[in-house]
Amino acid sequence: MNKPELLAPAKNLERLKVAVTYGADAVYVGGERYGLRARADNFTVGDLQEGATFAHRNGAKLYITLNAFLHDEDFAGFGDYCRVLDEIGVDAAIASDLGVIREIQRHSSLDVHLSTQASCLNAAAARLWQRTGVKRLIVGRELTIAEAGAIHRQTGMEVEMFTHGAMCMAYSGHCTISNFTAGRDSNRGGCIQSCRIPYFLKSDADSTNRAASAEPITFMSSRDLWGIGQVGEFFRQGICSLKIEGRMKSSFYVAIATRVYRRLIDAYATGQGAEALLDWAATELRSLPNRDYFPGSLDAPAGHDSVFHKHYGVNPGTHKYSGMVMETTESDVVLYIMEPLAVGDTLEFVPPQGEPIVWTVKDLYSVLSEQRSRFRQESVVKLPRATLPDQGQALTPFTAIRHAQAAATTNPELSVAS
Amino acid sequence: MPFNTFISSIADLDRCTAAPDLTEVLIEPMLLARQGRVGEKAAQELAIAARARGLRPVLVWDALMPQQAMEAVGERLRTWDFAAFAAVRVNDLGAAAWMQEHHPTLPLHLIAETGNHNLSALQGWCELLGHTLERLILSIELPEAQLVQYCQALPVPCEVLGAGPILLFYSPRSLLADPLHAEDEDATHIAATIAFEDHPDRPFPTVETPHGTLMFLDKDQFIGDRLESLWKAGLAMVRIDLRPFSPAPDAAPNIDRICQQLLSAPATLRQQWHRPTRAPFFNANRTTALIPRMKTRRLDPWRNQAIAEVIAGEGGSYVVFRVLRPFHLTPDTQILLPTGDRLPFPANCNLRTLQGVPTSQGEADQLLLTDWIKKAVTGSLLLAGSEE
Repeated sequence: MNKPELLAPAKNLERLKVAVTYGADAVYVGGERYGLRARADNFTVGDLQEGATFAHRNGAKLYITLNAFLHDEDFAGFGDYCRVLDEIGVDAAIASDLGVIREIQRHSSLDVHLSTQASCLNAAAARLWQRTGVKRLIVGRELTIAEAGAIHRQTGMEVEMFTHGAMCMAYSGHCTISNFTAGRDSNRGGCIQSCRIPYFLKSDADSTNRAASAEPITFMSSRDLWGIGQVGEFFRQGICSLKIEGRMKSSFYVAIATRVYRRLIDAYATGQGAEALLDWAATELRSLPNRDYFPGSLDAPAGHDSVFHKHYGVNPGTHKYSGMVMETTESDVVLYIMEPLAVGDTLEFVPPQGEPIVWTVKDLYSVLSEQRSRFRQESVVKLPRATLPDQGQALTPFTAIRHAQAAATTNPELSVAS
Repeated sequence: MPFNTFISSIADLDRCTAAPDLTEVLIEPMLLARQGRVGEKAAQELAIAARARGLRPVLVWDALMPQQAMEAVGERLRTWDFAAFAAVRVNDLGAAAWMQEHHPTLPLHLIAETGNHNLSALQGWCELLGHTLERLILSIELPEAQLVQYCQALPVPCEVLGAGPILLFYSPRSLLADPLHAEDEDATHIAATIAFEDHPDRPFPTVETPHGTLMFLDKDQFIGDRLESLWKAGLAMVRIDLRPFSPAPDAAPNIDRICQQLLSAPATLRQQWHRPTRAPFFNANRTTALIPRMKTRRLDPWRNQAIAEVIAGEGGSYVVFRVLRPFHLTPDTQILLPTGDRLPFPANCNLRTLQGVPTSQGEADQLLLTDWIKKAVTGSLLLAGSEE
């Protein structure tokens, strides 16, 4: 039974390093053009070189998303770019447009993974994609794991599935609301997330407005996917890669989600049983902002309960991102803090392995080693090792730091299974 | 000037027979078509009836098919007599593959409307599907000049939507039944209108069928009066879609009159169309112009030259740089401010490690300090000099 790869997203170099540090087997990133996340920082060629070097040095792979559906004029420079990616040593390109795939193959020797945007949903379609030279299928999020497994068995192709993150309500690539209502091409990185907002809804069959919404309602916004209860099934069905969504998301998200799935995959692979970790995994993932997780269509097609009804925004999560360990020296651990920090505050360091370290701040120093009682947000702060539990031995660069938020933020009726 | 349209009744067929230049009818069984209304037997009977009237019946299989649905549908289709159909119109590549395997002589029409906006992709479909591909259905997001070019360059004939609803959103999920409390109603189609909170006067038709939920623009595509260059370029078929305005069981009310008007007075037809019309991308795809503005922030063009970034600092005291890539400081190193202005990197600013060791170089992810540099706020970039 093959152990699936854990594939994490990275918006920028920092997040790539976070993902690898927290155990990702591979990281997918966007370049400056040709991807679907126009507003992500996206990787320059220099970033890609640095990212590939870092990933490969740590035994991880680097994939680049070239998954926009391009118009003819968008191909300017594309061939040269593919050759550069090849030279850098990028391990594969994720693409959805047949024209893009053909151009990648014409100009480079990059492996091509078919993006979920192409909505490959069945073995018959997979066989046609196979003839184009695509090596791996990232199948549509509408499939159950069993269906994805059937495609793998019937075609012999590598099949990757999303295991975590936000979901399109539409078949991926089949929503053009942004194009026609906002002049922004959702399939070229311009999605304005129209599915997430409330709408007035009125039945055509009812002139009295029965059941119509006098108030706008959110009925097209999908809850977020989690596949923590399905890790064993991914193994059994031969899924080659478990993908975490979220190239726009924070280092905190990348760290926590990667950490959780790393531990679940490893536990299953070593026969320890991922089931025993479900409550832990659920608690950890609920520390992140979310839209009431559910298993998507991993077990059965998503039903009526798959809609996230909150009008705007997301659940903030049980914890807030406080910062990250930037550097460690013999005497200090150096943090970058996202939030104001004062002596007496309680922080939770979440190391890549092992349990979180909860710690109340005793001493704070500036980078000039001046003792302070508080720092404002977006500061660099030194903590003397002597004041940290176990001298901070478990803390390495890119370790995420969080703190608990006061209010419960997740629908308590939603269980792990839901 | 050949037209086609969707039909769902014998009455539709009779009107199509009387419609000038209408040569082809599109038949949508509920089993296969996302907006289908007719049963399997009725679909096959309609095809036979169309043939008897001299019309070319095309089977519509435009629902996307997850593996399990594909297997079940494949079993059902084994009992079908496809001889009545002149071609099959597919959206899912799996449907194309199924047809090629089981009915290799039946021509295919590939719906290439969403995300097929370059010649290379369209040529790729022609090569992949080979001789069975009879037609490509092109996207209305392509401007006229592109449509003309593709009609001339592609090895198979093309079709485009001439008049009818613009599909915005296709989800496999049931999204209307629950909020409209219609779960128990015995209806295969639930129709509604939705509107943005800040534009309640713009009703977007939305329908739920057994294949999921579909949302349409509040205005119809209409290029019936702007087809001349496309005809000259060899456009093979123009589709007229009247389904949303059709009382069941029909799908093509007034198609005879509409085709007549398309030939004789298309501009008048546009003015009389049942809903507001537009052709948003026919002149130019305006989404293209917005892409550079979405992507480019002021400092982005310089990021490839950046060797470090200011991540923190205290006025009058210090600045903290995070090294982005290894470097050796050179005399012409500059600081690029978020405003776009540049400063020379001060020679006397005392670059040093966190331990206070003076340095002129940095390693990736290392934190380096300098004395306070006025204006060097968070987000400023250290740019490599030419000697770097």
